[in-house]
Amino acid sequence: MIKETAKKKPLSVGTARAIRGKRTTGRLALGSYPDGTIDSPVIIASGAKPGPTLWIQGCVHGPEVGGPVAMLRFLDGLKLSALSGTIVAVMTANPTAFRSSSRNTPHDGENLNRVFPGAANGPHSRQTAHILMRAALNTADAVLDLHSGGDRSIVPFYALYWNDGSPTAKESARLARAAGTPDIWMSTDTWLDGAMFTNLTRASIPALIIECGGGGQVREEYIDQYVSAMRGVAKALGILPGRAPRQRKYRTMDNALLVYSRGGGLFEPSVAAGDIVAKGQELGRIRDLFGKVVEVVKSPSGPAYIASMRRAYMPIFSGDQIAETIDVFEDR
Amino acid sequence: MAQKKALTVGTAVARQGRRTAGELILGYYPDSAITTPVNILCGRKPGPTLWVQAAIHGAEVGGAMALLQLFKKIDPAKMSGTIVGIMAANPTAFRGFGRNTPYDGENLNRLFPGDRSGSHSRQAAHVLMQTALKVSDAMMDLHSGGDEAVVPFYALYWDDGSPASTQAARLARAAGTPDLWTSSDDWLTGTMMTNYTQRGKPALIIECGGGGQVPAAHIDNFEMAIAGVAKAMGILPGRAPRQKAYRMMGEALLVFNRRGGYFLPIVEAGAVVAKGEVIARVMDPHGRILEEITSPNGPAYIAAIVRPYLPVYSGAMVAECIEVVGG
Repeated sequence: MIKETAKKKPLSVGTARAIRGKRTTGRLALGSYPDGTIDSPVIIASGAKPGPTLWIQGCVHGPEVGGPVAMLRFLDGLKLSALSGTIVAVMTANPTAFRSSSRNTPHDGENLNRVFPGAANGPHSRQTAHILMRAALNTADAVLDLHSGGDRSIVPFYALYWNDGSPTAKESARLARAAGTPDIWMSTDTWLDGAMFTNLTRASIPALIIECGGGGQVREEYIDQYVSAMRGVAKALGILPGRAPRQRKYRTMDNALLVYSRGGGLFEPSVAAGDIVAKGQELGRIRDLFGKVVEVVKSPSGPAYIASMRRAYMPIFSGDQIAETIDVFEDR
Repeated sequence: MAQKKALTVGTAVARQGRRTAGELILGYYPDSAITTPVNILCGRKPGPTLWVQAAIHGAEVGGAMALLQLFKKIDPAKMSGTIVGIMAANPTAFRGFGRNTPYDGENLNRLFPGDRSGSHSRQAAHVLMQTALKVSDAMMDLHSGGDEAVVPFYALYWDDGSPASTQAARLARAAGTPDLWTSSDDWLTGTMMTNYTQRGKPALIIECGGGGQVPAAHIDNFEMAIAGVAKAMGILPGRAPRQKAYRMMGEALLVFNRRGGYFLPIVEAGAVVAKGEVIARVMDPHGRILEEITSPNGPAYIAAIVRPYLPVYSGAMVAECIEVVGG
């Protein structure tokens, strides 16, 4: 299931080079400013023993900073003498979005996680996607991409993989079950065609998105959840010793629908991220500044998992993404 | 307040014993007016007028929610006087979810009294100022820490020793919080509160919450502040709340970091710290602590602090420390 790792000699990512039994750092160039390099900090934790390489990355969307904070917590908790293999941590996969606390790349307005596999000679964000993709393909046996609801939305703790029926998708499914959450979105949604995890899966590298938290908050609980996902997957890969966590039952889901507002005002959620709702159930209300409810937003499907929810009292434009619902297939 | 016949704010016209609504023009887009929603609650009996405004900094939306919550509860039959609610005092900042006016990057609450023929934000300041002075006897400006910082629940007034300041001090004591900042800080000379006070009428800033959150407790605090001040003015029946003791604060110092990274607060908003006490750290993406941030004064009240793990640039305003002068 894990590819032969012997071919990878001195593993390096940008200027960071793996040294057996050590934690090293460097920077990965992902593009250029007019006057310098756009790069991400990289940390490599290399075990005393050989083994597979797990690539973890944060901040493909700038404000989703719970990921890198949890990556540091995870790395700090590793005993490298007990590690068989390597962890590569890319701390800010979209550095300029991170710097401006923006979901999309400020320079071209692109959502980086929709333009994979990228293009070496393409527009700005596509070049970044290309570099991330090549670097991960050159070094990783599995990839975790850490996301959250960012500043404006809240998401529950769940794992997401690309379910194209391939052996790689099956390996992703196995890793997802080790990620410390019972909630798993096995996606075939075409609007995720340009995501990094989708393209990695197609290139035979198992890959997961881990979602957790948001709403402008990085709570300890969120950090713990991310860390449990990284530890669980590292155990399932044999990088960390011990058994990966297993849940009593898993809730599997697919067919995500994005729910948009039609009116404007302040948002009042009626359900919380992670809730299961019926088709037609009220998800929230939009109230104008005269106090009038101008819109009741309802679930377009059900039973559906609330995979994302705008935070309370967020000012809403027409056509803002209010919620994301995913059909629940199995709960057992 | 017999001189005020039909009180109007923009298209909103007060009607005795009724709640009415309208829009106030604060500027212009190239293709239409920039307006704020206005709600007016007018008592059956005459009395003074309290001007309450929210979101002069766009992301500070808790105050607007409190106005709606309070207006729903009050029976205008029991009111003597009027409350004017300005729901988005900086409409484009509200729409852009930013602190400053997007068009010119200005902090609207540093440009008062404004200028009728001045730059974009100064014109908005002028309209707010002139309208408020024309119709109201006192004003409250509702603020929070917005998305990036958290503030405790406190009241702030301009202390220039004038009768209006003395009135403001009385109203501040009715605002439901024991924490009062009596400011004469130079950098606040351009606020609406300061300029309104200098024109002979009491004004308060009420601060509460932020960090991207609007929990019910913050809305309740704002509501308590508006209701308390309205009671102290005799607009609402009943006694205004009084605290057993008040913590009085003077000079505020703004604290800026020198290194960039993740911000790790050590103390919470509302804590009282000693001079030199470590209040926060800045951590780089490798987990190294690059900087320890200490309080420049003490004993000092933490009147604002950036939320946990926010990525900060060098020179971000990461905290505000106000000297505690009595309590």
